[in-house]
Amino acid sequence: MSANAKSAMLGLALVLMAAGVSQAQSTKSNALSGLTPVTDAVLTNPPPSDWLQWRRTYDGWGYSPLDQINKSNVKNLKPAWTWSLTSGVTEIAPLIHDGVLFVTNAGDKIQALDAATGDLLWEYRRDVPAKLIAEGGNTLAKRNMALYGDNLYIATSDAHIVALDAKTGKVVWDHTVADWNKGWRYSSGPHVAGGKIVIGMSGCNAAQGGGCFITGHDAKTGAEVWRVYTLAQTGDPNEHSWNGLPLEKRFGGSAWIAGSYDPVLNTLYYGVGQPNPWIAEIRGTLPKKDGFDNAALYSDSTLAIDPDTGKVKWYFQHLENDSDDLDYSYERILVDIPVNGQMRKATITAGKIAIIEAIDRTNGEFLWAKETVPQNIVASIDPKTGKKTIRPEAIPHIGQTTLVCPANPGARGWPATAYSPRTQMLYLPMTEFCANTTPTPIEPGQTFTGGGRAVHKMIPMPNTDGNFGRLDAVKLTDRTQAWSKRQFAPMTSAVLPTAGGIVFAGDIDRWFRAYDDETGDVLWQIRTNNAVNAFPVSYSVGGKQYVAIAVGNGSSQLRNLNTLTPQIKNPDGGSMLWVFALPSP
Amino acid sequence: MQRAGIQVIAGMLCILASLEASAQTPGPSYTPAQAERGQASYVHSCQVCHGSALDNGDFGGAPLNGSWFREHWGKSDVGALFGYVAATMPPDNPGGLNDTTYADILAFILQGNGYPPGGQELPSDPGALQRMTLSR
Repeated sequence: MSANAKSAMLGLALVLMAAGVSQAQSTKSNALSGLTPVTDAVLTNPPPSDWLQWRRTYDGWGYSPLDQINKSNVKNLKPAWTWSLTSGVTEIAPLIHDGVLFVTNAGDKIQALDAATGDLLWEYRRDVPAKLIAEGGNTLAKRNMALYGDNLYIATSDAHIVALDAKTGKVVWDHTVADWNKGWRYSSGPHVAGGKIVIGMSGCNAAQGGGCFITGHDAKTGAEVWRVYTLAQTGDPNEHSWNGLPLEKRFGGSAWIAGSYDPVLNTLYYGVGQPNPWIAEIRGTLPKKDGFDNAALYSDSTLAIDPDTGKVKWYFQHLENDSDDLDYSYERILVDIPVNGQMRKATITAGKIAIIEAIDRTNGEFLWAKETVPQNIVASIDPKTGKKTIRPEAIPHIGQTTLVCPANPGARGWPATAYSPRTQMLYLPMTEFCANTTPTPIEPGQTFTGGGRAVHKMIPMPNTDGNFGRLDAVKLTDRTQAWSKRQFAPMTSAVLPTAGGIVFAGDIDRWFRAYDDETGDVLWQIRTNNAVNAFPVSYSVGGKQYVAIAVGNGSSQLRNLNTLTPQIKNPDGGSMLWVFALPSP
Repeated sequence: MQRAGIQVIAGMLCILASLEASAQTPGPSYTPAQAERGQASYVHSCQVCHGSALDNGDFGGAPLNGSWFREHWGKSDVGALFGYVAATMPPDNPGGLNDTTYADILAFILQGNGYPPGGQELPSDPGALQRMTLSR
């Protein structure tokens, strides 16, 4: 080829490249320019095509009303596009609005993608402190974000809340909530309730006496409007529930999973985690002292909060004086159900023991509880009050080994349950296992405020078939188990029921599956490139339905479950967003 | 008399053997730079269970310092500790790290237990490690 010809070719290539860039930019601006403001009315009644909140709707159902993908055609589901994510923890819930998909990467990189094609529209990268990047695991997880008005609201690993312009990714405001150097962490993110940006703090075990808190912020500025402490403070009527421990020696109560909101009752429902240190003998709430209670309020509770003022309307403690790290911070599903012939406004949750518990969300009255997996911790539940009697043999003591079922990562973890109005069933992804728990003594002169301080040797549930994974469907109207599927691999994704009669869920062994919502039969499955470890979501663009799920290996809970099944080998890297659709006709 | 003589000789041989053994079983050697490398690997692969201070993990790992470590490993040699760690850790991927990475992580743990650094890096050769006692 002559020099002139080469030059001409190069020129043509440059012209084509320039045209390509301009075309891409044009497409990008089109996708973003279609973004409409997310109003209170839209959040209350979102279009079926959108997935605007962590669990799609205020009530936390995690249900998609789309039915293009259904029981008869789901077998044809194919990858539509994929997108590599930063290696590490996923645990993410993408949001989709007006054809734009917002996704979190480990380490606070946020991207806006064209939801139909996977084209990158904008990217926000945060300069996360190197120490936090090195820690990895939960620290870098951000399970949810919020869309409200023209902004995308995110939490950061260094304990800020940031409002990004949803159309550009540019920072609108950046508000410091707490000092990450003191151990405060966000592993989930903000959500909207009553026009406020609400978020729960985590990491409240690292020498932060007094416990965690939930804060409400002005959406326009980020300014903190109210703060609810999750552990009883000085002057609180339940201060005596800490066995005489002063405030600076009360630890825990992380609020590390986003809450739910009832706009009619104008009430926010939030779960509170376990008290720290986990072992009551180490924490100082055992043995019980005369003249004090030792329930350790408001650990392992549901808090009902007025989002305008931060006033706690009522609380319900699911587990008193927890000594087994049996967290109750998980999602609250708000659903109206018949109880003894009367419709009740319920909030439903399950803690790590995976006992489904229904509370009247108007007043905190206990309605009912239903056990799922075998467990050896709760001996009985008072049918009127919901108060649990704990087997004394399940309370670990320093230097002794106690069999605890389920083990402390939980029969259920952050992978959320979901409710389908189609079947009136609650779907629960779970793992059956136990731990031989041996609390280790504190060294003389040492202060310990962390979580564990016990060796947890995890083992299969005794006298079972060796399967760990389990997916249950429970009919909330009559509390019967509709179906239960068990398998070797622990379940490691949240579940997604749809109007198409399908429940999507995934496991640690890289399988992502579609189950029949009425029978549990597997209708479709695909082997992905890593552990399925996020919240599946569904949306539509231009009339075409998509299902999205992230996979990856880096979650602390995932790595713990993997110790049960070390024969399941997953890649270190390779976090990815998979998006599926039916082939075009 | 003959039997007593044999016993004396046997006793002397035992003393000699033990002198020789102690001469051949020095404490572990590692370098500060190696412990620093080991810390980075520890943070990535171990910290979630064993904690940032070796004894404050949130996911049930045994303390890697203090009385727990002394009671479990204080009378052992580095080879045994290396063998255990390399065969069983991290529990979600036993044996999944390189031998040099395991040696680096052990250097970090030894540093955290107050073993003084030396002029040589901790090796990953089993024979050499077995000749290093943790007893002190």
